[in-house]
Amino acid sequence: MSLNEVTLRERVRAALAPRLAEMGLTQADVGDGMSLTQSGVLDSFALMELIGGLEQALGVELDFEAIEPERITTVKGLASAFAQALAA
Amino acid sequence: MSAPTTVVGPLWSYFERSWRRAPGAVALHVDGRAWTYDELALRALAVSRAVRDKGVQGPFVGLYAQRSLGAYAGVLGILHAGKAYVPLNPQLPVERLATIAGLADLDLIVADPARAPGAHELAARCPAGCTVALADAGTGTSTGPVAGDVAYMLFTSGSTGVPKGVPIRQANVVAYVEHLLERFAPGPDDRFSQTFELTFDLSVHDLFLCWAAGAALYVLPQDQLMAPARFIREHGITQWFSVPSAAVLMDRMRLLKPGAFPGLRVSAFCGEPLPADLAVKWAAATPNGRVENLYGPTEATIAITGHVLNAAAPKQRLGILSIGRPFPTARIRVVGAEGRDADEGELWLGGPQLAAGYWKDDARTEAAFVTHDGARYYRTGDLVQRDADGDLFFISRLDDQVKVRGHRIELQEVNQVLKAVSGAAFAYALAHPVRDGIAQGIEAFLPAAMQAQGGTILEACAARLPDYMVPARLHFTDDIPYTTSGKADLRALRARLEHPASPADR
Repeated sequence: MSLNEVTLRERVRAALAPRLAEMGLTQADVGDGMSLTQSGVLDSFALMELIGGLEQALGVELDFEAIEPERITTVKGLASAFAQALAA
Repeated sequence: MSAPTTVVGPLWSYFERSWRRAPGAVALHVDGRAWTYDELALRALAVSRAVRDKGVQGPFVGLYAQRSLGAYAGVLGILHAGKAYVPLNPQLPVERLATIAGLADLDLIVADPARAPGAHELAARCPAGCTVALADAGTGTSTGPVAGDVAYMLFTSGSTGVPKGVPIRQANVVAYVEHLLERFAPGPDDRFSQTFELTFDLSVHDLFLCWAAGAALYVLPQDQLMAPARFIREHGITQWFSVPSAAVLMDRMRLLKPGAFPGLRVSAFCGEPLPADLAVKWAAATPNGRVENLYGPTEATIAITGHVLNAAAPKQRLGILSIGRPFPTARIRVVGAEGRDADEGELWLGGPQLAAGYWKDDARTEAAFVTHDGARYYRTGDLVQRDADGDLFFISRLDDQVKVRGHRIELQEVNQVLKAVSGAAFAYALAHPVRDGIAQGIEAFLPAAMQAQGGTILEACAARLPDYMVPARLHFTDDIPYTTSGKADLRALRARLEHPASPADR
């Protein structure tokens, strides 16, 4: 069974929720294609924590060798990277 | 030895010699395009012309650009015109940049053409009327270079809430570059990484060590700084230089596999403590290279001590790699109790890399720059230990200064801004969390009554402070532990962050 990308975007957003609440932002403030690091929502360490949490929850590891670095900084890119990892 | 004659600015000369030798060689690779020494020189000369046409009065010219062609042409052009550059990072709040422009008495800002609107907005806010010159493709001129004494001025966090300017002379940089040319032995075939912002003096290593060697500078795009593995391989980088945090992230991404980067010849780290186990992993990933841990404050120009990793037996203290020994021309003291030389104490630095002092700030210069036995030293405020071999180990700061991902931060400055924007009676900022000896960010305690304004306070901080100084979290409580001397007990506050017990601590 593989989760589809739409579901995965929701998983990424759920993982982001506590951080958004801290910053006084809503889900609507964060577009699917917006860079989470360049917009200041997360720093690179916090992003790695988020990814690590998702890897554990989904029981899969991303292949950072193969992923374009810019892809892991957006909700959309992360969801597709996880979809790819789950399908592999 | 005869007195050194000031030829043209030596930093420009480093570049010019390589340019004359191989004008068609690649000098710079940025935003997906390579620029030869010839092409970069022409752009630099156009900037130099623009700077001279403006008839700049003071020693400094602002540079509003960020790791782009305009930034590098700007550095070279300003130096060619006999002026020193003051980097103005467009990512910083305009209010802070205007403060810096005022402190440096800037009357001209060279800007990246793509950043023109931001540069004009900044110029309009400069106290003394400032104009903008764009670092674009104009025609180069053959007017000869002018000698300048100062190379650049950087601003570091100041405890009173006002940043401190550190002017660095060309001679300071030459002392550094000459040693590194021997130490890292770079040549025209080398490809240097460029990861540091110009506001960070470690960028000067990237630019001028590279160009002095006739090598090519490879600028990492912003979105690849976090995971540079592919960039290193695709572009055949041979000389890597970054903060250890970059290696920490690559390790978390499982990118530091043995043998992963066979092309790297030298990997240097600086700016924050380097965990020994991380250095060993990096060494395994770069089997044909060596790993260097460099150390130095802005006031002593880029770096002034260094240690070559022995991966089989890393020299460490509490898991942190040694910062090694002073460079050959440097003079150091380890000053213990009652000002006596000791094996543990404050590190004092002297020699040709030493800055003259802070810009227009005699009080702070006198406090930090001292004379001992006829020699001048900078008191780093760093507590170090020296072992029997003469190798140094960084232990901690002696004051409220912390480093977050390599950036120097005076916690007092954060506290001052927090109080100013909120009207709070107290504010206590701490570096937290700290992982592998590296601080990840700032968190702060404010009075419970401020809770409702949390978001507004952070926004106001973000308008005044660089992002690495803005607290990642605020904690609201009136229950502040005090030490017997009546100061806030920062250790107890830190313990609360590490072991949150009550909801207020979360």
